[in-house]
Amino acid sequence: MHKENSYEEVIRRRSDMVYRLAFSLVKSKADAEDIYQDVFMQYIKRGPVFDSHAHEKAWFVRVTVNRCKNHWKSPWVRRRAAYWETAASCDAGRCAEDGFVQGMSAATAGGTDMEAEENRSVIEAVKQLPEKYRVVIHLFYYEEMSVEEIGKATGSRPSTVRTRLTRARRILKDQLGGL
Amino acid sequence: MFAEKYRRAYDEVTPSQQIVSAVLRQAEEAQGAPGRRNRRKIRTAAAVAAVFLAVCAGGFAVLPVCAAQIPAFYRVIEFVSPGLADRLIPVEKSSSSQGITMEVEAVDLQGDAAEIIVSVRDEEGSALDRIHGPVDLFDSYHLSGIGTDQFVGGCHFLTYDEETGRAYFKIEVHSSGGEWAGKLRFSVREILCNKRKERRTIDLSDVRESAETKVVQLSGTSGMMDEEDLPASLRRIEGTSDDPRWQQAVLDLMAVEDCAAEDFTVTGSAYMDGVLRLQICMGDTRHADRHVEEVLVDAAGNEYCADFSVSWQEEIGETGYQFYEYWFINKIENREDLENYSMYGIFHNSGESVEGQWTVTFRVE
Repeated sequence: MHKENSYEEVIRRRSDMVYRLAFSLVKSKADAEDIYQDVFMQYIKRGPVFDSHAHEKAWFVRVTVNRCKNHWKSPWVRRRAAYWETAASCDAGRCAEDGFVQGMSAATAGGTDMEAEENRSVIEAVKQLPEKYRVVIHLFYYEEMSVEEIGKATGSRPSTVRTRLTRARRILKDQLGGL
Repeated sequence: MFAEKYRRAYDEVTPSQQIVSAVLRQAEEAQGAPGRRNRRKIRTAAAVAAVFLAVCAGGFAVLPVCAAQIPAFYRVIEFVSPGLADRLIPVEKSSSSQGITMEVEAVDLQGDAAEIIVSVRDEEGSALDRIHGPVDLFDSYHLSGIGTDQFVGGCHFLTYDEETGRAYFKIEVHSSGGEWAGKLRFSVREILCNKRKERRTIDLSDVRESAETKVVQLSGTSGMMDEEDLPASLRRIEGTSDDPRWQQAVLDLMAVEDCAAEDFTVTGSAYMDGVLRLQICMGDTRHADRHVEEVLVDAAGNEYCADFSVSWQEEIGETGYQFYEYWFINKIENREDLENYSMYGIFHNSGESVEGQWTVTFRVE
């Protein structure tokens, strides 16, 4: 694959994947957009040459996950997270967490009310999981990556990925049923 | 069943056309493609037209209303967040103190949420040259309102614009009183200037095979590892009844007296129990913001962030030193393989704290 002719092609091919992964891992639509831009800026800046589509996908997954990890570590995100934890008394309609769901609900405006509601409840249940569980859930169920591939992308052992998947499924089963 | 539901839910999640276009435009720039300038003009004109229509439609008004010319923030915000730029209504009210001018540039009101764009710049005529790159409001901002009850959700540095010498922030605010009404007062007490970031190589040639440890009271942890996945030596120790804070055994490498108060000190590293441990002192961070993004690189060029980090404070007199220890777990099979790895860090440092009183009151209806 020759990078000089493929910037636009690669960005268009990986655009939804990067945004969905970022959206699944951070707290707000605005943060997902920031990470989306950062990932593609890194791609444009570095101009990596990929051997295959699988290599290309793995690169974007790894860079997006790494960018999200740095996002969680940034002092202002930590301070903001602490703020939201202490502001637990806020009503359901106006938490930052709900900004996340509102962003998603706007995106699902094309479906029926029932579908939109179901989509919202699925995303809301997953977003309640710790970050380390959200990563494996998204890569496994949406990107259909194997446990080994997820391990490589997240820098974890396959056994750790399996454990996280099991625990995440158990939590989701309690919340959603029928898993 | 769940897989289908999950896929269906996320099929609907896609990036906005504005952000895709912004990224493609930057890719075009990188490849030297023509046509960017024309599109930027079209987008800016569209943003101003949208503002004009919104104000004329009477949906809400912010005083003072539109400036006669296109405000500089449109150009900047449009580049950072095209969707937001299209929704902004100008405010353009400012306050000066300590040679720095703080300006509330614009707001976007959506239901019970508001996003406020604020800039800081050197006061006109000031020779202090304090604002010339990224700055930080350091949690010293406050928003108070009349006629509504709101709380601040976060302050996010957006960008520094060299053309106008302004550093831009986005403040997120939520109101518990439903629609916005009345006056808002935005104030700032402290601004951190001279923020800079620098890439430094972290030497892995003197990673120790073993090191003494000491037990400290943790002030924070971060990472994606489960406690039970950590090697026994890295597990937290429960606090005592006198001091319930969690404790941690960390590397005992360098006396706090030997660390810099106003800079980073890489105090050392060790490879123990399959874990590469890197320790950095951030100096005195009470009036400064220092942090590091540390990256381990393997022979193939793959980059890895730390899996976990812990932080704690050590004090000498009135000075509090912030320490971080970063753990790369099961990345490196044995110590001999270290020669196939390198490490670098992006060191973020804010140098100068300026205390003052910047207050702007503006009306939203």
